[in-house]
Amino acid sequence: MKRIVIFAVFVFLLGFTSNSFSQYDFDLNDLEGNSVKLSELNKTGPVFVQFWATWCVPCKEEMKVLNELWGKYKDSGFVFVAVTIDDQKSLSKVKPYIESKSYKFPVLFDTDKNVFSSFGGQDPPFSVFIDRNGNIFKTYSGYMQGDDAKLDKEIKEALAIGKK
Amino acid sequence: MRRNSGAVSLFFVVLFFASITAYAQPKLNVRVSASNLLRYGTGVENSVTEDVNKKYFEELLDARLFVNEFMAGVRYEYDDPIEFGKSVKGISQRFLEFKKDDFTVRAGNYYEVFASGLTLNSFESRPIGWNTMFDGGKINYKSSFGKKGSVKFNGTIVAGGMDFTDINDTARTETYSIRAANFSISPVKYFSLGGSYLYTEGKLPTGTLITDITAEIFEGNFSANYKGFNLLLSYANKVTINQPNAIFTQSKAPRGDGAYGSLSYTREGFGITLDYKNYRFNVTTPDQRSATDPFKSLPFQNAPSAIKVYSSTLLSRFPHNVDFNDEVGWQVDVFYSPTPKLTLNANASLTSRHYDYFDADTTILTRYERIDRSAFLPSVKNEFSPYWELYFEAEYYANKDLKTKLGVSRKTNILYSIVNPAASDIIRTFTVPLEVQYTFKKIYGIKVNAEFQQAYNSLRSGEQHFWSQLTTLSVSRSPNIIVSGTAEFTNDEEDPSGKKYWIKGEVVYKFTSANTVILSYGSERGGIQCSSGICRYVNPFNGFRLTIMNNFN
Repeated sequence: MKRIVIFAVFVFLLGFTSNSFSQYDFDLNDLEGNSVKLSELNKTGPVFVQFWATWCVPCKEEMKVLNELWGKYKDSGFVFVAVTIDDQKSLSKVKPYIESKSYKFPVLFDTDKNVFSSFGGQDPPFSVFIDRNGNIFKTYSGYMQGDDAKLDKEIKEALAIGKK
Repeated sequence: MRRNSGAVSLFFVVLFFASITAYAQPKLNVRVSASNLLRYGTGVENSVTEDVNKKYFEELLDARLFVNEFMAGVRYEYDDPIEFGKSVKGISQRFLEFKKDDFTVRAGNYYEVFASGLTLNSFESRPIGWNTMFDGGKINYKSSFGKKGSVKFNGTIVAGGMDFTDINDTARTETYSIRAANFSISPVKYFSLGGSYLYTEGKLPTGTLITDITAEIFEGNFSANYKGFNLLLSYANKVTINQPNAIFTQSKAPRGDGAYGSLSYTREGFGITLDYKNYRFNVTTPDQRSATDPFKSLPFQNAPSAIKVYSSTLLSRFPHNVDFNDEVGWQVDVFYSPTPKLTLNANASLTSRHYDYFDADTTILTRYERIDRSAFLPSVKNEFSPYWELYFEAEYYANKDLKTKLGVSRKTNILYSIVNPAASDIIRTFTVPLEVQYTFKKIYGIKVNAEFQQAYNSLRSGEQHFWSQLTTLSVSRSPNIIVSGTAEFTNDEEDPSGKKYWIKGEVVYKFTSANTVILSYGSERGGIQCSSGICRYVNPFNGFRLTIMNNFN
C-alpha cells in the first residue's frame, strides 16, 4: 500500500511540474577556483552543460565536437560549459588535459556529483541543454559518431528560442 | 535502507502536504526530474569450479522533486536478484534538502567527499557492488566575503550511520556511525587551507564475533596555484581503538596515516601532473594482513589511487588492487598536443608496499619483523610487491571524419609470498591497443578497436606465457543505433572459464536523446574489475543482457 501511495504522489506531482530555472541553477568552481553560476552564463544565451570525466572516451570525442560548435556559434550567444565529475583519483588530470587541447570554454568541478545527480545523470557523457528562457530544451545521454550534425541543428533551434 | 520505514512514511507525508501547498500557492515552483535503469540478464556464469545458471533483474528509479528551495529525492530499487552485491526490494534512498543562499541542509541519505578523500570519500559503484552511502544529515555553508569577495570559505558538518556490505562476502556487514566536519578557506586567490575531523564508532564482524571500535581521523590540506602551476598537499592521521573481545583480548590504539600530493604544470598545448601517495593506515606484518582487520582503513576512506585508469578491455584486464593500508607510490602523466590534430599522452607509475619482512623466530614458529628503511619512495624489488606501468598513446585526427589512436603499455604486478617466494603471483603484460574510426555521409560511423596482449603469469602450472587478442567492430547511424560485435581469442590453457574464445553481439538503440535500450548476447571473459582502486573478480558470463536507461527532465 505504501508503495502505491508513494508512486501516486510522484505521478500526481508530475502533472503540474514546470521548468523553473532557480531549481537547477548551480554554483561551481572553475579551473582557476572562480565561482561560476549557471544563471550568469544563461544571461549570454542558451547553455549546453556537458558532464564528462577524463577517463570517459566518448565524453572527450563529444567535447571536441562541442568545442568546434562553440567556436562556430559563440558569437550568436551559444554558451558551452564542461562540468567534470572526475573524483579524487583523476581530478589532478583535468586541467592538464584541457590545457593540452587548448580548449577555452569554461570547465567546472562537480567532484561530489551533486549537480550531475540533480539532473538525473547516470553515466557520462550526459548533457543538459538550457535555452535562453532558462528551460531545459534537451537532455542527452551518450554520444555516437555523427552526432555533430544533430547537435549543430539543435543549437540553431535553441538559439532561435526567446531571441529578441 | 538502514532506518525504519516510519521515518520514510513521515517524510512522504510531509512531502505530500508540501505538494498540496504547491497547488494552493501558484508562485511556488515545482519540478520533477527522474531517471530509470532496468537491467536484466540470463545465462551461465563460469566459476573456477563449475558452470552455474545466472539470472539477475535490477530496477532502479531515481526521482527528485524540487519545490522552491526544497529538493526531495527517492530511489526505488527492486533487485530479484542483483547482479553483484546485496539485493534490495523497496526504497533504498530518500532525502530532503533545503538550499537557501549560502546554506544547504540535507536530511536522509547522502554521499560526501572531504578534500582528497583521506578522511571521507563515500560513493557508490554498482559494477562492483560497492556502496558507502550514509543515512543522517549534513549542513554545508559556502560564502565569499572581504574586498570583492576575495576570501572564500566552505564548511561542512555531517553525521549519520552506514551499514557497509563487504563486496567479497555479502553476508558480512560492517556498521558505522560517524560525526565529521570539514572546512577550507582561501584568503587570496592563489592558495587555500583546509582541514577535516572525523569520529566514528564501528561494529566489525569476524565470523560470529563482533569487534567494537572507535576511530578518529584528523586531516589538513593546502593547495596553491600560480602561473600554470597547481599544488595540492593533504595529510591525515588516524587512531583506532578496539574493545577487548575473544579475538582481541586487549585494547589497542594503533595509529596510521596517509599523505597525498599532486603537482601539475600547464600551458597551451601541454600539461603534466605528478602524483605522490603514501598510505600507511595499517602497516602490519604479512601474517596479520586481513580484509576484516578492525584497524584497517575504513570503507568510507578512499584516497586517490595514483595509477592510470583505462577504458579499453585488455588494458584493464590485470589491474592493480590499491592497498590503502600499506602503499607508497608516484605517477607522472603528460599530455602534449604539438598540432591540433595530434595529441600525445605518456604515463608512468610505480607503487609498492613500504617494507620487506623476515622471520625472526629461530624455532618452527614464525615471527615476522620488518626490515626498516626510508620508505618515502616505492621499491621495484619483488619483496615489496611492486606494481609499475609505462603507457604511451598517440591520437591523430587525419581529418574531421577519420581518427586513429594507437597505444603501447607495459605493466608488471607482483604479489609477493613471504612464506614461499617461488609461489609469488607475478603478472607481466605488454599490450597494444589500436582504434580507428571513420564517419561518412555525416551520420554513419564505423569504428574498429583491436587490442593485442602478451602476458606472463607465474601462477600458471603449465605454459606461463600466453597471448590474448580482442577485436570490436561497431557500425552506427546517428542519432539512434549502434550495432557492434566483439571477438576475443587467447591461447591461455588455464583461463578460469576453460574457454579460448568469446564472441558477443550488441545493439544500442536510442529512442530519444536520453532514452536508450541495450541488448547483448554472447560470452564475456570476465576478470578483475576495479573502481577507485577497489577491485573484485567478475566471473565469465555467457548469455543475454538487456539494459534500459531513461532520463526525464
